[in-house]
Amino acid sequence: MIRPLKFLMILFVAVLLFPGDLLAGASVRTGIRVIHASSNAVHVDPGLRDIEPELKSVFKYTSYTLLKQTAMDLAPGTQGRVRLPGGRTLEVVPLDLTGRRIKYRIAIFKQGARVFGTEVLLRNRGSITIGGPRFKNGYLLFNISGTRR
Amino acid sequence: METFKAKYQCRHCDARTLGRYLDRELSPGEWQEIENHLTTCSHCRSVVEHLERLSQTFSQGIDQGTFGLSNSLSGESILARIKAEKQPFWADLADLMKAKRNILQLASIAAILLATVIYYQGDTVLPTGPSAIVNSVDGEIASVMILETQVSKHTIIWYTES
Repeated sequence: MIRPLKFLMILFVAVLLFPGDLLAGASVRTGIRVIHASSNAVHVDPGLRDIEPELKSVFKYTSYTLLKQTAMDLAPGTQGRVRLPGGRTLEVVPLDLTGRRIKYRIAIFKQGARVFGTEVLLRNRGSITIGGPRFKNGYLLFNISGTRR
Repeated sequence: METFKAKYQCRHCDARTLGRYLDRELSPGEWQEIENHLTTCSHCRSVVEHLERLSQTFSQGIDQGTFGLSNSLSGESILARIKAEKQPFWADLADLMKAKRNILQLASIAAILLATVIYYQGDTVLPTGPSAIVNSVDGEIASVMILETQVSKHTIIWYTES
């Protein structure tokens, strides 16, 4: 008869050896938040509380306003597009799901022309912030998060 | 005792004197006088015998009642019991393990669950490395900075449009 502790140890080893990737679906939940950072006021949008410490540790702005928030399920190689202020468009494409990171191709278009592009390995359930475009006495920030589903 | 007194009919001595005689509380002269009297008085002799039996009965009863108690409370017997019950260190440890068995099992289950969570959700629970590794950056840009916050290692790309 197997004792409970031994059974748990066997179960634990089995769980560790089981390839978790098989349980994960072939899509990525991609969240995009468009933020307007400025020093016009002292305000932080409640929807940005989770990244507020990170933003304030790097930038000197006093106001962070959430302009847009969207999420989409994207299969690898599928494009996701979001319209941005100032005639810009953000395009995200999850390329690869292997390992513990998600490979993303991210591009920003302005008036149809590609002005910025990057390829990153995003930590699962992590996020990256891209900023720089000027907008209304401030700057635009794009917070992009990815979670395997 | 009242019955005994009522039956007592000797004129020379009473039951109290005979009791003191038995307890050797009389002076030698008095004691010898009673001793001589007992050789001739059958009645007093029977009273003395009765008192002796009564005394012996009391003594035996007290001895029987205190015998076990005195044995169990003696210092030597207590030390002997402690030595007999004393067990080696590993036996104590084994008893402790038995007593804590349920707690150990629960702790093991908790540890296994925690290890499993860390294994599968380690990036969230215990983030290691930056939130994003930047492989490449390109475009119509004048400059670009890649930053990483100290606390949660959040990756930030800051670019300036050309």
